[in-house]
This record gives sequence, C-alpha cells and structure tokens, in this order.
Amino acid sequence: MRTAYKFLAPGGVSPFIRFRWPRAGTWVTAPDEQEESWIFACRDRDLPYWLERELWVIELDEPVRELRFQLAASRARLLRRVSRWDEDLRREYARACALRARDLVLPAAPPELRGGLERARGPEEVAAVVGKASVTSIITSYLGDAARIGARGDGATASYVTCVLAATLKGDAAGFEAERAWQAGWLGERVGPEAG
Amino acid sequence: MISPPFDFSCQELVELVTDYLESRLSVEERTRFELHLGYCDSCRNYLQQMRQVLAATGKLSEESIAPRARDSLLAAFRSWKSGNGGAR
Repeated sequence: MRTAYKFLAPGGVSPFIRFRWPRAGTWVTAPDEQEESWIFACRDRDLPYWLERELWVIELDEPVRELRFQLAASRARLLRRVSRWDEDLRREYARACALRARDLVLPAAPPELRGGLERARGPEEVAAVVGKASVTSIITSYLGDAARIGARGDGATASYVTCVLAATLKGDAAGFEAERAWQAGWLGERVGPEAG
Repeated sequence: MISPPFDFSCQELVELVTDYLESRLSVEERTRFELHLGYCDSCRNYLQQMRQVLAATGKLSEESIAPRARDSLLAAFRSWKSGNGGAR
C-alpha cells in the first residue's frame, strides 16, 4: 500500500473524466486492466501540475506504477480530505506564484519598472506597475498575466504562466520544471506531510 | 515563448478530444492531455461541450429527425459532396 494525494473537483468528482468517488474508505477498482484506465494520484512533487478545489489523501493498492507526473494503480480508496487546502490557501498560493513571477523578473527588469515592482506588496500592484510601462516585452507580458491571474485567485493558471516565464528567462524548458519544483515545495510546506 | 516539451497545445488537444473521450489515448498522451486541461479553461470548456454533444447526438436516431429536417440535411450533404456549395 502507498499513500499519495488526489485532487478532485467539488463534490469529490474526478475533474476530467467526471467520476464521482464514493465516500472515504471505499475501494475503487479501475474499469479494466489497461494502464490507461488506472487511477492516478500525486506525489508531493506532482502537486502543482494537478490543482483542483479539493485535495484528498488516497491509498493506492500495489502494484503502484511511478510515472513522470503522477502515480498509477488499478485499485485505490480515498482516506481523508486535506482540510488545509481551503479557499484561503488556494488564494494565497495564487498570490505567491504571482509575486514569485515578480521576483524572477526583478533582476532583469527595465529601470522604469524596477522601483515599482520592488515596492509592490501584492499581485494587484504588480499588475498596475506593468500596466503603466511605456514599453512591453514578452517577459513583462507574462508578468502582467501572472499578476492579474494571481490576483483573481486562479492558482493553476498563475502558476503555469509563472513557469512559462521562468523557462523564457532561463532560455530552456528546464526553467519550467525548476519553477514547478519551487511551487511543489511551497505547497508541500503547507499541506503536508499527509501522504507518504 | 518556451513551452515545456511535454505539454500539448490547444490545437493538439482539440485534435485528440474524441480519442480522449473514447479512452483511446496512451497513458502518456492522456497525461499530456490532462496537464493542459489543468490550466486551460478554454480547453476545459471545449471538452465539456464535446461531452454534451456526444451525449445529445448519442440519443438521436433516424426516426427522431423530422422529415423536413432530414430532407434538408440530405440535400445539403448531396450538394456538398458534388461540390456545388453547402457548408464546409
């Protein structure tokens, strides 16, 4: 047996295939033996890729397959909901990602933006500073997007835009995954350790 | 823009949506598909619309179409097939 995390839409529903999970403790078996139909779950490092409204601890029956972005098993059951992943924390995460985007941009920020960005205390202020810039670039556009999206509390999209920004600054896709690692650390510190 | 190599674009997702709904994607493709859905509201909406379309059309039979509508559709298809206009 192995415990992991499972993100679900409101009501305990798988967000994409729309499967409604039974109450905690009830085992669910994949519809067939094909791995494509197995049950997927997250390790700590996978958390930022799969954000949804509800976070659960799930128990996976062996054999558990390790995939690049998730775990897979043919049988699993929900154990308990992670209460710390609530509306406040989701909003805080979105804002943290937006401010992280600001921090990534700061060392190379145009002089006209630097002071405003340094003083900004929230994503709304970051968005306002970027919005007043006389010259825009792909970097400041991503920063503006991350700030606006973060300000409205959409952590999934704000975190993704910040990763794209990080990859663009670094010049290769490794920057994307490095930023996901930072986000996984942020989330893990606040919701974990609930799963092994 | 530098995109992560594992991520589908919106266009790729649209091309694969039927295979996804019919569970014909490999684990890797399904993962890439769902990673994209994780942050793209537009593609989420598209998937939901496709699901609704399939649910609705799955209930249609030849008998459930009004005769006038059926004749109109057949005429449109014949015209389209012969290259004489019609929606493409």
